[in-house]
Amino acid sequence: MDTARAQDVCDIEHLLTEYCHRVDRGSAAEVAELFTEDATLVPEFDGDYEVKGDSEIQRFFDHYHTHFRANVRHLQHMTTTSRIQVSAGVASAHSYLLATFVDGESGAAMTVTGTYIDALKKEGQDWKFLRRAIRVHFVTSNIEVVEQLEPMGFDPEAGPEGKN
Amino acid sequence: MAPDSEIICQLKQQIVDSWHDHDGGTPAEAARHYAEEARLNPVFDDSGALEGEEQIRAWFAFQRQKFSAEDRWDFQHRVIGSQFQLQGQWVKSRQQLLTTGQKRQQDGRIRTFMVPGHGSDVWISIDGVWKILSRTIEVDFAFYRDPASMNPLGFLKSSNDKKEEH
Repeated sequence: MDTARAQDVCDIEHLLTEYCHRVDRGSAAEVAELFTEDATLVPEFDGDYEVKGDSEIQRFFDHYHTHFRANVRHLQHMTTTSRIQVSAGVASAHSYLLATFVDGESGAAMTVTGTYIDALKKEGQDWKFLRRAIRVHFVTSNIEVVEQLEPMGFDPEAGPEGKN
Repeated sequence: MAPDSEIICQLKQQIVDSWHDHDGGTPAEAARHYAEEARLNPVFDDSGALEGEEQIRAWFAFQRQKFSAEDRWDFQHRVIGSQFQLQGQWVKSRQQLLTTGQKRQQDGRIRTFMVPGHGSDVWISIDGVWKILSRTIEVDFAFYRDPASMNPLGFLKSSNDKKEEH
């Protein structure tokens, strides 16, 4: 792997992570910025359809934020194990998805696993999604949720020997 | 990018490749990442350490036969938090692993599973190609749940409603 390709792989890893942070906490416009103008989003977990173009993609994430994110707490998308192949300004990535959140209505902790299948394009210095398919494998729930951990009881005033 | 960083970047991709093939590749694809004299030690299994690429390929073939696509699916080893030690032609690496998937129990019930664990590798550069010289896979614990359902987002319906309005 030459230096330029290694840098592309790092930049693409950064894009994949940035997407997660923006979906969890950013605006729909901030998520849509990560896609090319002519990009396609394929949210397979929600049915058999494609969302074409960055303005429709922004509308999709606006819908997602209103109809899903607003009803959950502590939403975290995590992308790992990204298999990235780069070739002359385009790339593909195949990543494992893990998402966790607390359902606002039931209070259950939810875990989602799945796969992201991406085609990417370099525009200027920036890598963007040309096509992103999101496939969910399974969802599990856990009723026993602790949203506030019990404090450890460390006393910062106690000094190194545990004495005041 | 410093030479060590380039090696680590390349190895990270090879480690990822090896786990993707471990999860979903053919036995030959899964075994191709190992050096001819490699050692694979799946500590969670009672089959003991496997010696040589041939035996490793046979182990992957056995595993795929034992757990067919009807019995276990969506198998994914998530590689998280890789640590590297470069030693000339050799690189030691250690990864945290989170394995997930679904399985059908003998009574037909479908369960999801999550298995935290870790992997320790030694990679060797042979004629400029990195291969696994040894890999140890250890499981910390496993937990099982029932699959749950997710409410549809309804984006398609909202798009259709929007069209009808116009």
